[in-house]
Order: sequence, then C-alpha cells, then structure tokens
Amino acid sequence: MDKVKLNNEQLDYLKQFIISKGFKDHAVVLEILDHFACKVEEVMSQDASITFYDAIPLARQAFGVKGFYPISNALQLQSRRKYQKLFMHYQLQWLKQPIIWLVLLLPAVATYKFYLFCQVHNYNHIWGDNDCVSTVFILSVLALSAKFFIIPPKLFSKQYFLKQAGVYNYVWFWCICYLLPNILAKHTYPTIAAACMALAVVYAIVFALTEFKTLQHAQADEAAIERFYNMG
Amino acid sequence: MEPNIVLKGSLQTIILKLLQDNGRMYGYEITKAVKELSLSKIVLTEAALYPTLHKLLDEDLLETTSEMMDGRLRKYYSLSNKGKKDVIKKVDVLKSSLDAVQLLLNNKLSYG
Repeated sequence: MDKVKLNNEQLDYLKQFIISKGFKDHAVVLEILDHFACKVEEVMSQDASITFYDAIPLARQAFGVKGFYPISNALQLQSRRKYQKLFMHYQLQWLKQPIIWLVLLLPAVATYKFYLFCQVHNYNHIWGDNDCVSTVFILSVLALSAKFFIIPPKLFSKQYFLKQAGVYNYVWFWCICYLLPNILAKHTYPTIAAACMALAVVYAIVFALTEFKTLQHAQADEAAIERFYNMG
Repeated sequence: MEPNIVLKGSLQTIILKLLQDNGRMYGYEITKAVKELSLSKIVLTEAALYPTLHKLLDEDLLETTSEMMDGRLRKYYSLSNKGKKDVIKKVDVLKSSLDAVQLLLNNKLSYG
C-alpha cells in the first residue's frame, strides 16, 4: 500500500479544494475526498520529490477532463432514486393499513349526505353552485393541509430531498381528485362525487404520512453525513 | 489496444466479481485492483466506476458501510444477498460471451 498518509491539515486543504471547484454538498465532498486523497497519496508515494501542493493538480488530472463531475452526478442520481424508492415503499406501507381504508368512509359519507341535504333543501350559497361544491372545496383544502398537521415544521426544511426525488409531480392526481368531484357534484352525481372526494382525502393523508416518513429518513441521513463531515 | 471497449459492457460483472473475491472494497481500491489484475491493460476511470457502483446500489446488488479511516470517511462496497446470487450468473454469462467472441476471432471468418 502507499507509504504517504495525509494529515488532517492536508485533508482539510483537499476539502476546501473540492469546495472551491463548486461541490458544496457535504455528501458529495465526502464521496470525492477519500478517492482524491488516495490519489494524492499515490502521486506523493511514487515520487518523493513531489510536494503535497504539486501532487494536487496531478491527482486531479487523473480524474479526467470532467474532473469530479461524474462522481457528483452519480451520487445525486443515486440519491434521487433512493428517495423515490423510499417514498414508494412508505406509500405502499400506508396504503396496506386497514385503518387508512376505514378513513375512506368518513369523507365519502359526509360528502354524500351533505350533497343530498343541499339538493333536498335547494340550498344555494355564495361559495359556488350549491353547498355541496362548497363542502368539496372545504374538504379539499383540509385534505391538502393535512401535511401541515402531520409533518413537524423542522422537517419542512428537508423537503429538497423530495423535490430532488421528483415526488412532487402529482399535479394530475390533484386535478382529477379535486376538480372531478366538483364537476360531478354540479352535475348531480352524488355517489361518484363522494367516492372521488373520499379517495382524494385518503390519498392526501397517505401522501402527508409518506412525506413525513421519507423526510425523517432524509434527516437521519443528513445528520450522519454532517457528523462524518465535521469529524474529519 | 482499446481496453475500454471491452470494459464498457462488462464493468458491472468485473466489479461484482472483485467484491465476491475480496469481501468489501472502496472506490480507489477497486480502480487499483482492476489496474493491477489486468497488468495495466485496463484502466478503470472514476468517471466509469462511480456511475456503475451507484447503478449496482440502485439495483440492490451492493450495499455500503462507511467508516472513518486515516481521518476521512471511507465508503466500503460489498455484495448484498441479491448481489451474491446474481454474481455467479453474471460471471457465467460474461465468460460464455467472451468464449464465443474468441471462437469467432480464432476461426477463419469465411461463412457464406
């Protein structure tokens, strides 16, 4: 094995060198650092006349024309896939819980009953065409804000993990679940409107719970990275 | 010789086989092992190594453990249970493909 071993000051210098090249994410810095340090040690061991500072550009050359970018890109891609997988895993876990499906009944019955009530009494309201549409709207807002009750504020700062994983691209789902019940309610299909509403509410809750679990995982990962980063 | 042409399609199998033989290895160690075992005929670049390692991680064929070593974090890669099962199959496929290529190259290509 290589004889030269870098000391902590030299490792700190390499860390700053990596950061100066535009890699500020601590996970990426740690991923590059060990390999880069090994290369520098190899260069210094091969020729004793090469100083640490001369070895740095030589070691960096060995990474090729793209430098550290392939390592950084590979790590980010893998991290994205990892959180996507985790999100799907937790989502399935929650959807398998019988209690989640029992919750379905509540918004379904509420929407259906209120819709019929409004129809019988011919209620009209400033919110929309009738009070059922208003109910659907209010339930939608409540369902969408479920995440604010489920996820503690400190975890919201970690949301970039989910953005990175692309789990925010569910616009189609919200459109179907919130627009459809409204349209159906207007056109007097109470059963289907109620079923859609119930599904939307349940999914909003599952989504919030899944977000919570994934963000918790991301927080633990980040804490471990920070611990290692500050240790070195 | 252009070793990278051969390397490109068989990199995953080479890494899996190395990890099967050595238990656990870190990134730099893998590049060194490939260079030494191939008598410097194959140079595995970082640009090829890390995307492959992450792809294998993504397919659950590898798992990682991190340790502080010589003042820095070192990530060790090892075969997962799925990887241990798959490596035998992948090595067999690579070997039979290389044998087939050898057959083609060693015989006179006068078919047809």
